[in-house]
Amino acid sequence: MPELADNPLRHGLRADRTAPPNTVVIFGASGDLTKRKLVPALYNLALERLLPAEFAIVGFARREVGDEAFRRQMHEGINSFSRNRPADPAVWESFASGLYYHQANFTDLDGYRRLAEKLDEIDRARGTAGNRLFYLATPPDYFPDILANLGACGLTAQGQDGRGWSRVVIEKPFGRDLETARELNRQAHAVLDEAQIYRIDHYLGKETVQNILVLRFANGIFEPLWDRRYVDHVQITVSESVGVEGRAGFYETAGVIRDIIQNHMLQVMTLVAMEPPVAFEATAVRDEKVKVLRAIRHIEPDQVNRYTVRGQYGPGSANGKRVPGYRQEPGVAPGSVVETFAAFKFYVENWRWAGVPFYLRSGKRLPRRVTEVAIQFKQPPLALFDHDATAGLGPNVLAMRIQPDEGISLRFGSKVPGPAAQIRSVTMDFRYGALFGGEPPEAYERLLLDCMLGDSTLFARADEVETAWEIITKILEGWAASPPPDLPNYPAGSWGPEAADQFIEADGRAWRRP
Amino acid sequence: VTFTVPPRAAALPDIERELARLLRSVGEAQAADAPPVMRALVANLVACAPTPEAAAEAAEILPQVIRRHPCRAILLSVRSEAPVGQPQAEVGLVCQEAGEANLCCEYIALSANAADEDLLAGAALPLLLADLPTFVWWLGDPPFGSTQFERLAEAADRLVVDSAGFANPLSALAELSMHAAVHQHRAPMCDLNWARLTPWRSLAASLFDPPDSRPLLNGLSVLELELGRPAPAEPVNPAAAFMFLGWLAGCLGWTLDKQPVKFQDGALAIRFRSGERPVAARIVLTPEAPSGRLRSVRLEAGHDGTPALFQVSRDYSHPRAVTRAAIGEAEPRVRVAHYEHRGRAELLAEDMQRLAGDEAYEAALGMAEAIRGLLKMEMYLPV
Repeated sequence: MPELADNPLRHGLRADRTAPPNTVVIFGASGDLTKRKLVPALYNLALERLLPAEFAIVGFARREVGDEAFRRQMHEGINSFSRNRPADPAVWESFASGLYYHQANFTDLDGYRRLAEKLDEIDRARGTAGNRLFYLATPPDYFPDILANLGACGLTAQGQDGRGWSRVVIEKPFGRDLETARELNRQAHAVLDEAQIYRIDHYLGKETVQNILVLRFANGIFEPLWDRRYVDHVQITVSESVGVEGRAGFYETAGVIRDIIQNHMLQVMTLVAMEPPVAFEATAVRDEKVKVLRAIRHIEPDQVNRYTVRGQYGPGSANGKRVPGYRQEPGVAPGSVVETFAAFKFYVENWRWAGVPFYLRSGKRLPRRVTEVAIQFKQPPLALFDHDATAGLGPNVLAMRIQPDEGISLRFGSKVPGPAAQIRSVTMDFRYGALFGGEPPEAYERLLLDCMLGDSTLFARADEVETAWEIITKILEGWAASPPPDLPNYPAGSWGPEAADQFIEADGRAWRRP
Repeated sequence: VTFTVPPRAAALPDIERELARLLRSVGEAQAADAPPVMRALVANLVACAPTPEAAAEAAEILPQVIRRHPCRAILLSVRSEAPVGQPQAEVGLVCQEAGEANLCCEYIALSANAADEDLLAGAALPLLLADLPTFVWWLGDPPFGSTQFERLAEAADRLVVDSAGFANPLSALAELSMHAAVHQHRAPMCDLNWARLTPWRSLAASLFDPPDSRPLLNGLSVLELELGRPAPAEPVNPAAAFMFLGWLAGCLGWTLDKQPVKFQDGALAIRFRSGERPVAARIVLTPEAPSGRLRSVRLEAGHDGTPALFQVSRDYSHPRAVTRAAIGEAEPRVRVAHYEHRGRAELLAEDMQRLAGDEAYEAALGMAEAIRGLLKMEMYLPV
């Protein structure tokens, strides 16, 4: 099967990342993710001319919906949720001609046989060259059946009978704990090679998350300071101002630890803490990320009260409006003890980070939506200026804001003009939006394109997922064994429970107010 | 796009001080709760406008470029009404809210009487901000070898031209090619007309991504490019077509048949060879595209007796292009692709994101010049 790179006309095309001919099959096509994110992302790729003419999408779901009705639903989705909306009529018409719907039960093997026939027909009609990307956007309970049935119908085979590549994207959550993650990996490996599996965490598709690696490894000035000799501690914050917003069913079984910490936050933490990879390619980058996860000191079940804090929001106010507490949200059990806030102190036990705490916190109904990584540096070894002069001087902090207002700021001390030796902190601020025009692509656009191009750098590997779950499962066991604090313990619209402040203040430090 | 602080006169030695004062004045005029004013600059952009028309165009485009790519923009122009003796200066600001800040960029216009044109470069050079890349954009035909051009070229990290806007397209193309070849050690050259071809190249390449199309690249035998016809009495500007052919020939290892070529019956025929196999190319003028812009590319191929036709065409009345691949008896594969008009401001701002040279451009320019060299000039009459 010739690769795109073999096309001599592609040589010398600037930043050329056009997908090869292929068909994307979305399992769970009637779900929100398909309509809000996946199809709009694919449409945007088409709009940017990053998809070939030889492209098709097959929506696979249980509901009785025909091709035309599916196209109408997806059109509505693009018109409502795409960053390029409304859809351009002519481009949409061309894009929609490659949209198909396939009705079947996820557990029904015959439905997959019919799918295989349909895909062969599409290959013939649209020249999609036998390349298939299967996207599992269903509830995770269906993942095992879908994987097994894809395998049973030969849809995971590659390069046989003129077939091209076959790849599978698995949405989060990838397991509920270590055991279920291992089991899901076993089921996936029964029908797929690891190189065919793309475990998606859309956080890694965000431009600013990727920029952590660029900041660290494309610049000479930061990396020499990036270790225990100069860094006092690291804070990673993912705060959301919203409540559960109709996701109570999921949230009641997940909590913030499974929703945010196990995947997004640990992924970001690995990028902050990893060693330079030998190359910027999938294996090298993921090897280094796994090393960080392996180096994280486990919080044993009997240590959770020392290294973690749980919280749940009660009634309060947000954006000038009264909002209910978590237990008053529709779909939440009145006595729920699910955590909507959590804070952790991790140590990465390697040469670079020994003794440097990584404080992670995430919660719902906090004052503002923000994701940031803050590297707080140690104080100078000698207090050269007198105490009064430095009263307004805080520690040096390098803050990487991931959302919103993506950017990087550096806080340092400066003399206040005048005869007195007054020193105060000032911030040097860099914002991507201001300096690089144009709207960055949505995370799903980048990640879907990477899958089609066979680049798994921004996807989690089996050992990465399992290592992350090893860390989290021990905490979950500890939390299960230890009674939760009195919940709710923070009002909606605050920065979390007081216990979280006491938790970090006990170390002589304080949370940032991002 | 307009100025936040419209350009106002400033004495040459006071330019920096005046800019700082304007920046303070923007902050002072704001409401107390308005986002703080910050100066944001990532490059120097020097625009050289040799005619009043070019100066007016640059004055309109530069604020748009600044908004897309924050920079200190310096416009150098010749004005007949400017007093003799010293260039005149104006300074202004372009500000925009970005997140929680109001970011301001600086605009400086230096103009001189034609008699003092050579003073402009000397006035501009001290105004370039240190440690930032410098782009020199020459509107119109670049005066290669002139004192002003040479001084600015020495200071540039990148030289920008637009061969679509050349008044004398053939001679300017020849000089451009020679300059690029002779001054390889200098700042890389970039051509906005080449940037306009990027979607064409990408769409043409996409036709040969499918495995069943790829072998047909080796069987291409006929090419036809439709090129926008100029206004009566204006010369044809074939730069885009020549560069596209140059790129295609370079990618596919074709050699140019060294036969003189001429415009005949509204078309220009050029011959290439792919090994022993002849490849016939035609450039046909059309009124359905702006002068000097591509309207369509048509590639015919035959492989093992199967005829194939590949086509990219652009509809200038809508933001779209259509690709079509018809191989043998199979149903043609047609795609409508989004193709929005990108003006010079967008092209320039996009090009300013890159500092490295572009080997594909240099190769295409070399082949374009070779094609131009075959042209019988006396036959190349205005249409």
